[in-house]
Amino acid sequence: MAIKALCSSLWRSPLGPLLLAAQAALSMMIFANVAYVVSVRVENTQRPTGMDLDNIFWIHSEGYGRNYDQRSAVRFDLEYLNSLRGVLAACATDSIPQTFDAQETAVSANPDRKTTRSVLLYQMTENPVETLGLHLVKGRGYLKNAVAPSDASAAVALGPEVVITEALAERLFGSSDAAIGKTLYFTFADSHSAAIVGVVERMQAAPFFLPGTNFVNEIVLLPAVPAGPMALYLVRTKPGLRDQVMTRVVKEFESLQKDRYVDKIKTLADTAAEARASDRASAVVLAILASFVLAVTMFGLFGFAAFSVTSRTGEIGTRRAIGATKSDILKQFLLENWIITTAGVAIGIVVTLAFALQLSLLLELPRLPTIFLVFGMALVWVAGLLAALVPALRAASVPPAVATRVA
Amino acid sequence: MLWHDLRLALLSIRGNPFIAAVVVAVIAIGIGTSMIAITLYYAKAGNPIWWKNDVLYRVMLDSRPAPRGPEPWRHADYPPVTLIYQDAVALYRSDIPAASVMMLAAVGPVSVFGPENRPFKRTARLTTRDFFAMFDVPFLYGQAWSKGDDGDQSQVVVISRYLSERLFGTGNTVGRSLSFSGQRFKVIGVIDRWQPLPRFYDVGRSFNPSDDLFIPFRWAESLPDLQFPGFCPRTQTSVTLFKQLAPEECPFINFWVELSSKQQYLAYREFIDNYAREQQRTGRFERPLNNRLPDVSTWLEMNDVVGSESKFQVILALVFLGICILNTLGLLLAKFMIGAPLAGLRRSLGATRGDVMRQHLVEVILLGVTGGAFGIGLAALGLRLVRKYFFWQANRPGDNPAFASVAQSLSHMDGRMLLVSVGLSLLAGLLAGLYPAWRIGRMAPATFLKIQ
Repeated sequence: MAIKALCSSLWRSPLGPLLLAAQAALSMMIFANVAYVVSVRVENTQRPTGMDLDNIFWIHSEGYGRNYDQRSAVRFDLEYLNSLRGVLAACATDSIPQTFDAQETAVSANPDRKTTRSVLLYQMTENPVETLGLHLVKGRGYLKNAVAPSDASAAVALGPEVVITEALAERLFGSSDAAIGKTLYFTFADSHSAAIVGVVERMQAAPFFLPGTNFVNEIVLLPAVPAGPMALYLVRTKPGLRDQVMTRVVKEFESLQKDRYVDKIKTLADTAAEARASDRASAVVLAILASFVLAVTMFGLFGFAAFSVTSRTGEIGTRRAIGATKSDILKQFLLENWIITTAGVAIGIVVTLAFALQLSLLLELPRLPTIFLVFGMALVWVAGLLAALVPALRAASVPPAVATRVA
Repeated sequence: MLWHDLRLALLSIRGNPFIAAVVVAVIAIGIGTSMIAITLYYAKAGNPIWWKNDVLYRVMLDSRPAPRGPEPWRHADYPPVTLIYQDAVALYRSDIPAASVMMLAAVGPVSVFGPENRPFKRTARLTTRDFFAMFDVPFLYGQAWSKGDDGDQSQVVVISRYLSERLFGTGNTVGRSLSFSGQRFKVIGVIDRWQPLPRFYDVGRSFNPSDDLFIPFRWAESLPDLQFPGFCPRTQTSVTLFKQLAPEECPFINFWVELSSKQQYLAYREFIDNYAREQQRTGRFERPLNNRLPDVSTWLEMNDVVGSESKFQVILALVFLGICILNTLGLLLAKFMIGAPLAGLRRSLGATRGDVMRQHLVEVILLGVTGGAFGIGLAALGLRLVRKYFFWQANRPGDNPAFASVAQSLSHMDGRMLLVSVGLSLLAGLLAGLYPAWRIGRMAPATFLKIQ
């Protein structure tokens, strides 16, 4: 058998082939796992947010001094923003979606609050569904008068109605239909509760909430005027008018009121891009690293094949002289290479799975899907074959006459 | 002798420049990649005050109410990271530690007096005077406030160099006045650039811009507009005003101690445990004794400051370096085998095994060091790219300038990193070259001469 003979010839000086097999195994381990992590990262960055990202911008204003009154300031600012030409809707919020600042809290479908679900909570004044451009699938947005009236004693007065995402509705009540009209029980603010009046199809938090957490798209919108002195506003404009409106707001907003300064005016699209920057960068870095690994491994396989062809030129000539065809020689070298990469792949399966296990613990990812293992194997095989092709072709072209020249 | 070996090595490299170039390239890529990963890792996770790691301790008391159900926290066994005001004040009175520091951070409007100056937002740290000595904060002008200023509400402030230049321009600005959150303060000190990364002395993310003002802790109660992040576990509410936080059972104060000896550490441990037992007796602390006194690196670990993502990248880069070493090993083996007849000739002319081995080792080290040098260049280039593309926010005007300096220090390789990389490349060269050199030295000269 050709394979048996080749194996025993490789075994005569096993170090070189073993080194290559080890390299192939490590490369496979890296490819399979990196491909998986990259695919997760890319998926994270591409997950739709459910918001009209391109036509929204936000304002961060901050009151200072004793004369600043959050409620009247917010009312005044919202009136101004809604009066601008090109603005579809505006609301004040306690945190900007797609940033890290969202408030995490636990809610329950039962008044006893024994089983709870972690969610992100946004406290927004009227019209958040319209302002964020969310798609309402059931019910309605909350009413303007749901935003609790001014109450000097409480820092934040919470409204009696909420809008939740479909993911949360399904989790707590089975379906969006079932959720409408039900009561949602909060675990903060001394057992606040509110009626669910609307369900939106989707609202997605920034991707850094992903690893190991469950509140990515389980979100509650609660009517409230956020506590001062920080005031955040979201403004949605008609398509294409965002920059125009923004320019005007930048010019006018700060001087509208005394006792406050404007900290930042920024598009939601930029904010979302920043939230995805680290995922994107990580995907790029990993892809670059994996391609280095591929290059170096292919190089090693190429070098070994070239070395073994050079040092065995005489032997090849002899084999050709006693009747071996060109394709026999080509086959011999490709097969030799194939044996090495296959041994590498065999070891590779074990180390890949072991590494994947560690990785899933470290990065809190689900188990490595088999498809990536197969991908790693295929890549190592193909890369090995390609790397050996040129030296093998050169070996095949050694003329039989060489045999007579050497020794 | 060494010169002779070096000359032989150079001759051998010149004899087969292709393989030599490849060996250098592979080592360079391996070293460069690992350097980038390790530098990023250290910038994010390194202990920024490692020289005081054995004397600085964070104080954590388990003041949480007894569990009322499943706890959603990532580390349910950790006590709260901050202290309740009442406890912080009690612990601060202890004279066991060489120094104790209480602190809070808050954002507020800063301005200089004048009709045209609109205020802007900066982060202030309300702290006690030992902060500066404890964390080795470098002063550019002036100094920290006195012990007396901690007690009286002196209107003094230490500011960052950035703020000093932004408000007053360059030069010594000690003695100037500024307004923070509606209160007038006199500058008594300006600190030089100080960007500990991560900002270990506080909780939370490591990329927050640094503090620009430092004012005596007592001001926390008399600047009514300041807000502090506080969460009261008993009522499950977020509270932000000092007035509401201080009298309640809401942990919100960062507390550090400096314990300069083992005895001091043990005595202080004893002290806080006794304090907690006392509180258990009065019913304030409802959980079993679970106080922690982590040093800085343990504290960083508890905060998960080290992103698992960058750990992953370091592991990958090191595996990659391993692949490069295996590769180089194979290449060197091949290279030495090609040159074996020459080595055989040397042996038969009287060179010992040791001579031949040394000659090859010198060649290996030469290749390794060259590869390492290129690797460092590659890493510097790569880090520049990382800075450009990872921290693109830093290059945009209008965003926080502190962020730019974070990016700066991320993409900067210091002496320590250079040392590590030189060491790593030597190690890589030796690992990859030791066996081939040994093998060639062990071979009987006759084996090579036969081929001739």
